[in-house]
Amino acid sequence: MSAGRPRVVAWSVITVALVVAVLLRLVLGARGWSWPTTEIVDLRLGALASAAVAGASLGLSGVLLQALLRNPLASPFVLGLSSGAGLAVSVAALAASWGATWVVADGGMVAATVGAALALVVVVVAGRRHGAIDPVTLLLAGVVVASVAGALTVLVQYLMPPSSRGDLMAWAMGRIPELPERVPLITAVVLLAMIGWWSFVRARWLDAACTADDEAMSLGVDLPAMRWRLVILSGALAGSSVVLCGPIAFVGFVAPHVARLMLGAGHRGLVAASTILGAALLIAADALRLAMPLPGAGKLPVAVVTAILGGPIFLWVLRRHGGRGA
Amino acid sequence: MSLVIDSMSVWHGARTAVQGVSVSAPPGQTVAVIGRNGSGKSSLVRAIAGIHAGRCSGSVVWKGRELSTCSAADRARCIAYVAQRPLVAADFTAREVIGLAGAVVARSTEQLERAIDALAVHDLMDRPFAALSGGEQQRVVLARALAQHDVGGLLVLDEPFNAMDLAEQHRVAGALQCLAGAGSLVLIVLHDLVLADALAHTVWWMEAGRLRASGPRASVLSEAALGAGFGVAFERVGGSLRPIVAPRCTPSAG
Repeated sequence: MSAGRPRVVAWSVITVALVVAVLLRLVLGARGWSWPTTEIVDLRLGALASAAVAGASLGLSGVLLQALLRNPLASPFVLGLSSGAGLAVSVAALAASWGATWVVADGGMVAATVGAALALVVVVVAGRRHGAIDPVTLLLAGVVVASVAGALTVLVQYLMPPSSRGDLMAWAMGRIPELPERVPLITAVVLLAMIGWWSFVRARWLDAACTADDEAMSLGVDLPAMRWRLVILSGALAGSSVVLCGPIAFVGFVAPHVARLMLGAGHRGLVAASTILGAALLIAADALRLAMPLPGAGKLPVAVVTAILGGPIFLWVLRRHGGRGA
Repeated sequence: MSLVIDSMSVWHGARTAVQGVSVSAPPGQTVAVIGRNGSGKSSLVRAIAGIHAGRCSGSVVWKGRELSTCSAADRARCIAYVAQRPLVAADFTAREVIGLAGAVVARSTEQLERAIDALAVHDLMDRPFAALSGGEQQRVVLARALAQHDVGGLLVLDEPFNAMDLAEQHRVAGALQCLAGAGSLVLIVLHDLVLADALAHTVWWMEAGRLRASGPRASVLSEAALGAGFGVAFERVGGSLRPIVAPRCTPSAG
């Protein structure tokens, strides 16, 4: 695919970006620049692992959603998946504080996946006009779902016992844990590996799904089944990233776009590059917030950094495509 | 061994688009599906291709095999389809669009090259699909269908000549005739009755969701029948060598 494009150069740049982001995060800590000593290296590796897995999950989720909806503006955050997952995890945490600890026995992974998938189903149903998905209506539906889920998350935070409220609020603003819990991290890695492999193997199907419904089916794609799979898989990825690091904006939108600019529209390269770039972006955003603390306010939440960086890119793409397919 | 359609009906919501159509055609032919707007032509061929949007009943048997029981991939191995308005919602080049023929069903490089040669799209290959003219896009999508198509299979085309200039139409018509000559069954929805008259061995004439007439071109495309069906006077021009069926233009009153 994408004959004539300097793919070797593109892959070199992607690899260098990941390596630079990793090195930056390794030499940056809560107290600024410092070489990781044996006492703190585990903390930095923990943060690195959390950011890499969450960022990669968001990047892959974004590329799957953009294929599902044939819309370059789709991403887990814009479509309300992250907020839906955040609400579900908050509700699970509230239920656990009332004694139903079984709901978070898996670290909230099932709750997050169900929340993300439910949000996507609501957005897709509300985003249809005359039986077809309308990009602008879809975006508006995503904004509404994200706003309502965000407001309900705040309500849940008020209902939480004061002792656990601060922790939930910090998580809801996006937090890369330096000591991630084992179950959510391992589950997220396994999900990422399995869905990444499936996406890579089915990359040509995703290419075919970029044509009209009847053409995609005539090319041999079982489109209804594939769409359900994409809804569940992108929801699971968004959910696992939310459980790990809270709702984080725009990584799942920016990573596929940068990958597309570098490698073209073929999904075989796009799936792998979006996953790697998602990881690099979130690691870099985490390093950036540590390198540039706000005077008087300290370190910014990582979701604020990704929103400041991703917002203008989103507006540029919106202007370029007018909300229509790429 | 042929295409046999039995009691085919298609509904879009409460509206019946195709009602109880039974018809058949042998391989090695070009079949033109004609009719007025909204007569059910596209719904019929989409149902045959297994990609109908609405509810559907009846059976489609191709070479002894009931197609409704086949998987999407199996259907793609015996039917290639071109939509009325092709859509590619990605920044693919023409080469990548043609390559989609092998996205699910394995296709050899030789099949892709043959399709590119047949429709002479070499000069378009590295251009972005979205930057091509309507006629060029249509040729590229046709090349994709030809690359997907195995000789002796079924090719279903919904108004493939839309937006094509005369030279492009001529080249595509030639390619389709070659395929039919080699044993494929080519099913084409056409509004242009001149093209239908020039291309088709058999004509299926749809009217209000039903089959008004079907049979050899000469019997269906008679001036009298066309005049009655379309409400326009027709005449044959050019004698018996290559008769052309065309609406006779008369100045309208007022």
